[in-house]
Amino acid sequence: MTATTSKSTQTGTAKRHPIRGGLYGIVLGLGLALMVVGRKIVTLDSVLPIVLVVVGIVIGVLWGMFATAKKPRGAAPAANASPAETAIQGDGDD
Amino acid sequence: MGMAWSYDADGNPLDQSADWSFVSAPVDLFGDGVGDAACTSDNPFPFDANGFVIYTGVAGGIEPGSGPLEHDWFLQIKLFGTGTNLDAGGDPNSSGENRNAGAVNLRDDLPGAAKIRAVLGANGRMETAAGDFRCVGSGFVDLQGGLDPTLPGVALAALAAIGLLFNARPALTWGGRP
Repeated sequence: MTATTSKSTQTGTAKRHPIRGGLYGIVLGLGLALMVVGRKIVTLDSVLPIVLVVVGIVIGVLWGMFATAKKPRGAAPAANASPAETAIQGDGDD
Repeated sequence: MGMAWSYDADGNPLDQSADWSFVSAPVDLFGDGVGDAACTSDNPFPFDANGFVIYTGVAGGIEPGSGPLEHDWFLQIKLFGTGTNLDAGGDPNSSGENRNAGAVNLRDDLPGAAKIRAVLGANGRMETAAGDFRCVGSGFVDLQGGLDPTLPGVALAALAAIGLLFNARPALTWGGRP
């Protein structure tokens, strides 16, 4: 019981990646746009390819913000670890 | 009024369409969709990106010398809802010439990067400065190039899916440590 409580308090921080998700969303939207144009599902004068890119960005940002979070790697640090050990942050990109 | 013939790179006919009158839409005369309206999004006029197109046309009146004087024209394609000019020009046409014919060699005239597989919307207009003649047309062409955007699209979508799944998900941390 003690270990479970300790784990729940120490995993309360979720690092989110909205910018990274948005960039992957652009790539997703571009890919879908190329597919529908190449398969001649839409004509090039349609605004649908642009819409697909925008939708891709939205999906990517939402995914980076609200998708189910990955569990942390490795074992939980000891409850009495020093502050210097637990204050290390992530890679800090977004 | 006018007619157009499209041929592939080997000289085999792909399609033919004709515009018989000043008021009615062009009609498909060859290949798929014979008798249907031509140059529509459902029945676009096919171009082989390495083939050629022959065209004839009459503008103004039927009688010789009744062609439009002092006219300007443009031809553009529509990309994502906006028009992009392909070519434009004008002619005093002092003799009133009303007939024209020619050929477009797409193998030489079309830039390599434009030889994709896609259905394009195109439109054009010819009008006189005096305002006594105005011809407007729009339609769809099926550009049959060697560059198929489908496979790059699949690759990009797959790359994005992998990135979203494994590199953009939120991650819980042990007290701020990954």
